Amino acid sequence: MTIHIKRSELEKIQSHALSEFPYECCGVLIGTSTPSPRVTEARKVPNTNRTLKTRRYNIDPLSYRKIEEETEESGIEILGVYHSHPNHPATPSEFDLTNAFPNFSYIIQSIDNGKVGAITSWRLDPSRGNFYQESVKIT
Amino acid sequence: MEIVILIPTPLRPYTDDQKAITLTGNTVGDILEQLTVRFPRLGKHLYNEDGNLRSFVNVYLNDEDIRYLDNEKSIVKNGDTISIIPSIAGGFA
Repeated sequence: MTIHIKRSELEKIQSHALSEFPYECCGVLIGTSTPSPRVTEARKVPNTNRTLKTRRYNIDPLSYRKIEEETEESGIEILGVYHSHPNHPATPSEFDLTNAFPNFSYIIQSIDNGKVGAITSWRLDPSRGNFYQESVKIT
Repeated sequence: MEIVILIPTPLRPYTDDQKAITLTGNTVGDILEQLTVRFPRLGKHLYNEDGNLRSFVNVYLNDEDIRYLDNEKSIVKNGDTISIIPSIAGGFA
């Protein structure tokens, strides 16, 4: 599987991750899913985690639902989420795995001492046992 | 009671791509049970091995998280909407 993302949106994710450093940032990936995921918008969403923002993120459920409603009215959909790993590799944690949903892309942007690091994308295996990595193609 | 239940995008492949399903029941638990009977592949993404709702699955009755109501015993009434909302959470540790 390959996820396509517009360069402007990739740059938004990186800019967001840098501006929130040393805290984790998060947002949703919006676009079309067929024939393969194409991100046309990376939308910032506040990290509502109150106590562990340097290593955890949460998105408010009602904010998520509102974005889902808005995107569907526009004929597009939520394809997944992105978040940053400050001073940590762009690999999913056990916590990421436990909380993941199937059929979603999870983009992770690593930030290394205030500089943009690797970016990766992951999907949950339908068995829920593990993530598999998908390619990120910039368009 | 006739209730609409909203399915989030990532779970729609398990509901024949339906985003809203109308079911009847008296409690949130009744509705969820009927949902997973009708769409068995949905079950493991909603419930853990012990048969409890997974912690990262949010269920809202209208605009209220059922955790702050009576969980799955929350009473529903005609015209209510139940939303299954992914708990979007993660982090590196």
